This record gives sequence, structure tokens and C-alpha cells, in this order.
Amino acid sequence: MADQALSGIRTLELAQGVAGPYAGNLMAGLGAEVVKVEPPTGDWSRRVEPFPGDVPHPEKSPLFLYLNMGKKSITLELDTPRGRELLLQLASEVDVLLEDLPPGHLDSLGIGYKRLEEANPALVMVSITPFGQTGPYCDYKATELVIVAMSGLMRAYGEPDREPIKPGGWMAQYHVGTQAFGAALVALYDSQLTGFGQQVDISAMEAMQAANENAISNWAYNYEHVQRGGNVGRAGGTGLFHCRDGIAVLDTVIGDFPSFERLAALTEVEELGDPAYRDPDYRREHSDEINELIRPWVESRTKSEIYHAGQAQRLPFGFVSDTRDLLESPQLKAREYFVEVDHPRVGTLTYPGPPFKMTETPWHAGRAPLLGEHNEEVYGDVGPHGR
Amino acid sequence: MARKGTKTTAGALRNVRIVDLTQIWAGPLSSKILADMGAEVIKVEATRRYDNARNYGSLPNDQLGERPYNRRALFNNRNRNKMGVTLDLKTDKGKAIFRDLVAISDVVMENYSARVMGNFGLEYDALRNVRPDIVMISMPAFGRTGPEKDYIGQGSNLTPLAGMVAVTGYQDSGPQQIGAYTDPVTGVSAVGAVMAALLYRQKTGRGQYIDLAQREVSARFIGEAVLDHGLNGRIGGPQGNRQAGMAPHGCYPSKGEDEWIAIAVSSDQQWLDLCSVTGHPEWADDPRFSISSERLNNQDELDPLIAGWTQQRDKYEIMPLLQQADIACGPVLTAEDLVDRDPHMEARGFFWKTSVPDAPDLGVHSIPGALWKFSKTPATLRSPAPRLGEHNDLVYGELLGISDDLEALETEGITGTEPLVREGMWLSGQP
Repeated sequence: MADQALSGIRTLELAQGVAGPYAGNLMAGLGAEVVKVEPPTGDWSRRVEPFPGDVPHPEKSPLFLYLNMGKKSITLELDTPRGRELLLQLASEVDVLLEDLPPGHLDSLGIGYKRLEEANPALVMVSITPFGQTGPYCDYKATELVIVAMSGLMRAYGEPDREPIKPGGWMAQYHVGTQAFGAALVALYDSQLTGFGQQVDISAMEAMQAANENAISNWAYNYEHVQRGGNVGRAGGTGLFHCRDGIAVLDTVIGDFPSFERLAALTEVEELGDPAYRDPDYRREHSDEINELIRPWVESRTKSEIYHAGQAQRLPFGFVSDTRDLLESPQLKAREYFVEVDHPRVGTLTYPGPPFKMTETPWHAGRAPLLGEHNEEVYGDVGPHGR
Repeated sequence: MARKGTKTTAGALRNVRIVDLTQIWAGPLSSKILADMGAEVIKVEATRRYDNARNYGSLPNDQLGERPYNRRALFNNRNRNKMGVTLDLKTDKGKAIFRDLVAISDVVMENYSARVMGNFGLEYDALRNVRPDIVMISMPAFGRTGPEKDYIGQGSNLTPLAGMVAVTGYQDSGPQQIGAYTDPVTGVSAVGAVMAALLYRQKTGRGQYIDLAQREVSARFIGEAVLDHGLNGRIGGPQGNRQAGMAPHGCYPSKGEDEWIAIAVSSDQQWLDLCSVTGHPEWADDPRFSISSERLNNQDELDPLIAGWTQQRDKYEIMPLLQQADIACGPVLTAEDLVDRDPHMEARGFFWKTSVPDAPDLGVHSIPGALWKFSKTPATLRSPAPRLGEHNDLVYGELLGISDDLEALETEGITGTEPLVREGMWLSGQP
């Protein structure tokens, strides 16, 4: 295996679910050794359905299998004296600790950052929680739904006359995990130069502000409130449209009138050649009319036809892609985006591949570990579980 | 190599200099994060082709002002802590100066469409000749290779194409779009990508080129759906605000116009506590709801009952009540809530206060601060977003040591502080 970007970096992952483990996933893919410390009952994501045949199995959760690619797994009972000793020892020997325990929990066990720093001054400890290590909400509980709601983002999604809708799956926590990955590497970069690490306090509520910038800025400058707009585009010729075999996405290039002209020509709507449509404000006021005029062209075509025809005219068209669309995408195939990975319990499956391509250092797609699979390797004579 | 610095910071990335050609959202978000962490970011625009985010978005009280291109909310928030120069890369002199900048920098960031950097003669192979260990990152919509590499991606089409929209929406009406979701995902991902390359360079002395395709990095956010398909033969669809294994789970109306509270109950104990704190013990005895398997099946009957209670109370009143019972619960917050009302954001000091030189009418206002709290090298606000070409003299004069030519460069239009494009929609009152 050619040298990878993070070869030689050792990471301890004392985190469950999505955010912390996704940070670990990214580090492992880039070559870091990531040792995942699980309670004896395993990461809770091992219990997240849907399972094959709807039969729960700790080694067969799609969420766990994907998030924990390329890692080692050891088990540890943290709330015992021996467990704490072992964690201290493990943390002394790594470059990065990713953890998501409730604020103050590690301190209460005598193995908070201060203690770990004494043992390992270069340690980078990234603490990931819903609300951060301090503040009136720091002991509050949160799930994906609550994080999205309190980020401000959810306000913008959904139909105007209904409850707001959260993005599907666990996207917010994937986002937080991606940030934790970046933050860990920033701190590590400095630690390698100075020999001194630090603690990084990541609050999901704050981290998600990266996606909420527009709402915040528009409020600060102009007291504008975000309005939910549903699927209908408001700029004329934009938004989601039902087509023959799914849902197409039409749009024009931001701030570029010629692109609207191309859209009008492509969708064969003569009326839209009227000079009145040159004005973006006019288009905005008449967006419903414009959308009605282009509907016949869209409804008679497939999503693929619409996508490629639009792109051929340099229009940012697309379509609502599901898993099958992604797997069949000629672009993703040409990029060799999907990879096959074998696993002792579920066999060979297809997984998403690298988040980005680097010219010197490859990505490696390893498999998820079995629970406690690496106890012997990591603990050696010491024994697992802190017993 | 001795480095003539224009700024010294105590940040974690104080030794990193970045030449930043990125525009709009994804790229500038990533360079903003790096700048916040102490990197010296030189944002390179051109008077004929400056960051389009200077052309749209909120203006202070909708007023164009004298220099609207220095007054846009989105641009200003996203480009703080960066220096700004202008440089016409179509000219030989402009290219030469750019190469001089690269020679003293660690990273080049760009998110132009496929052919632009090559057309300038400033693609990675060319820049590598100038500085062999340069780290360069591009953030193309679909990647720098493949049959669709020249396709146009904006957040509005990339988000559905990444698979994110197919799994989002009300259960009774199908997929819902979620705006330009892929932009910030790309931005935060680029931070890690650049840092991984810098760490590798720190170890080996070797730079490299990173091709970060926006659609690819975003599709990874729903990777478990690919596994579900392979393992179970399923194609997932929208789940509304529901979550397998949890009930009640959703977004309920609270007191006021368009106000909502999110509640997620994940155990029978929490359910009992919810019945107790809401003053509805009869719900706990109801066989439709008493155990989780029943509750999960009867959510259509349960949700209106919950809503009946929540809609009489303020969202900020409900949250602490349920949180005291260890129930995950939180209001759907607005920007106004976050900036002006929320006690936790206030206590955490998340928002920074700044003012913008060309927006005296705006005065001091809040901008999102540091995304992460570093215990030893915290992010700080060093400067507001640069005015167009604001740091030309500083960067070209002091950093590059170009002494005599500065005025000539401006006269020739290679640099400058005012846009050369004046007519049409670019400077219209388009908010």
C-alpha cells in the first residue's frame, strides 16, 4: 500500500453513532490507524435498522458497516477503575482522541483533558457534543432531529403551509463529523510543529451554523426572515418538476440572463422570448406562469433526457437521484466512485468511495470491524474490558 | 525559507499561506474556516471578474450605497479574516504576479469550472514548476474527469443529484428540495482535504493536487442507503420527520405564527416522563401508546395529541420542561432566535461583532464566529471582509516587494479597486 496522507497517525475513537464515527471514517480512509473503543454492548449504531430480513444483528447494520469502515474495534467498560486506567494508557499512545461523551463525564472519571494532557502533551482531543462543553444547554439531550431544528436550518425546508421538514437520514451529523475531521487535522498540524496539542470543543449547534450562514447574514443586514418555499422555484424556470420517470430539477445560472434565454429556447416556449422576461424581478413575479409554460416540455421527457439536454445548453439541470440512479450514473462509474469491500458477516457489498481524490496519496476502503475484534491485538496480555 | 509576513497570528495555522481563487459559497467557506484558524488567506479576484457573491444577497436596509460590491451580507460574512487583491489573470503580467504569490504560498484553492485554470496556464502542473510542494485543491461539481466533468453544478441541482433530496420529504407527498445543501458540505470537507495534504507535506515535503467533486463528497452523507440497497434490496424514500425506533418523534406546532418544537422520544421511560410533565397520565395508560412497538404503529393518532399540548406553549418554555426529564427536545430556531434571543448562543459567545467600512449605515452587527473552540489557539476575528482590491498595496508592495509598478498595474487594469463591469443585472438592485 502506497503511503497515505495520514499514515502513521494513530487515533482513538471513543464515540458512537454518526458524527464522531464519521470523523474516524475519514481518518481511516486516509490511512490513520483508528481504534474504535466500544462499550461491551457495542456502538448503538450496530442496533439501527434496517437489517437483512428485519432480523437485528450487531454486525449487519448498514449504518454501522458504512460509518466504521477501516477501523479496529476494542471493547472497554469505561466506568470501572481498570477501564479508566486502560483508557489513560491508550490515550497516552495516540495522536488524536475523538470523543462524544457528555460534557464533564471524562472529568468526573478523572480522565478528562487535563489528565490526558499530562500523560500526552501532544494529544489532540476533539470533543463532539450537541451543544458544547459549556453553556446552559450543555447537559441537554439531542438527536438528529433536534440538532437540525436548533441549527436554524430546518426553518427553511418544506412547504410554507406545513411543518418544516428535516433532511433525510443523518446528514447533519455527517456534517458535524466532517467538521470534526477537519478540526482534528488543524489541531494536529499545530501539535506536530509545537509538540503541544489541545482540546477542541465542537458543538453541533454551532458547527451547523456553517450551513446556516445565509439566514444569519440576511437577518443581520436586513432583518429578513427565511421563508419556506417548497419545491416550486421562484425565479422562473427553476425548481422540481415531475417528468416521465421521476423528478427533474431545472435551474438557470445564478445572475445570468443568457442562461434563461437558453432555457426558453430549449423548452421551446416562444413567449419567454418576450423582452419583459429579461428583468429578473419580472421573472420572479411571474415564476408560476413561466413554470406552467415549460411544464409540457418537461413532462414528456425522462429525467436523463432533461438532464443531458439542459447541460448540453450549459444549464444547471439535474434530477432527483436515488441510490439506483447513483449506482448507475455514468459519471460516478467513470470516476470509479463506488468500491467493493468484503466483510466476514455480510460478504462483499458496494460502498461509496473516496470523498476526494488526491494525486499522491490514495484512499483505502477497509471494512468495518466486528465487535471487539482487535481486543487481543490492542490489549495483548492486558486483557479486554478492563477486567 | 525566511518568510516576510504581513500579519502574525497566534492561530494553529499561523504558518500557512493560502492563495484563494474560490468564489460564492463552498470555496470561500473553506478558506474562511482556515483563515479563522490563523492561516493567511489572500483572496484573489479581478476587477472584471470578482466574486459573484458581491452581486447578490442582502444589503443593509436594501440600500445599494456607494459601493454595493463591498456591502453584501453573504460575501462579507464569508470572507472575513482574508486579505483581498485584484489581479487580471488574462494578462501576462497578472499571471507572473500570480506565480510569484504561489512561490511564497503553501496552498492554492480554486472552484472555477473545468477549463479556466488551464486557460490561464495556471493549472497544477504549471504551478508545481513554480513551487514543487504546492498543495492545490479544486472543487468541481462533478469532478475533473469523466463524461460529465464539464457539466454545470450549483447547489440546486447538485443536492438532488447527490441523492439528498430523494430521502427528504413528507411521507405523503414525496421528495422535498433542501436548497444548496451541497455547498457548505463541500466547504467543510475541503478543510479536511487541505489539512490532510498539508500533514502529508509536513511529513514528506511533497505537495499534491486534490480533486474534490461536490457531488461525490455529498453523496457520502447518505452512504448507508447504498448499503441498505446492497444488503436488503431496498431503495429508501422520504420518512418525513419520523425516525425508526422512536415515537413520538417529529416537529410539533408551538405557540405563535409558524413556530415549532422538535421532540424525539427514544425509550418507554421517556414516554412515561413525557406523559407526566405534560400532565397527561392517561396517555401512559392508553394501550395504543404504552409500549414502543404500539406507539410506533400509532403515531398518526399520537402526533395530534402531542400537538394539542405543544401548540399552547412557547417553544422556549417546552424545551427545558422536557429536557429536565432527559427527553431530546428543541425549538425550530430562526436566525433572529439564534442571534438575538437564544441564551445558549449568548453564553457561548458564538457570534462575533463587526462593522464593515463601506456599510457605515449598518453599524456594528453580528456574524457567525468560530465553528470550533480550540482551547489553546482559539479562532479570532482579525479583520472584516476585504473591500475589492483592498490589500493590493500590502500584498504586492510589502509581501512581493513590487515597488515601482503598483500605480501602473492599476492604470493598466491589471489590479484595481472598482469593478469594470457596471451595466446590466450585475449591479442591479437585485437582492
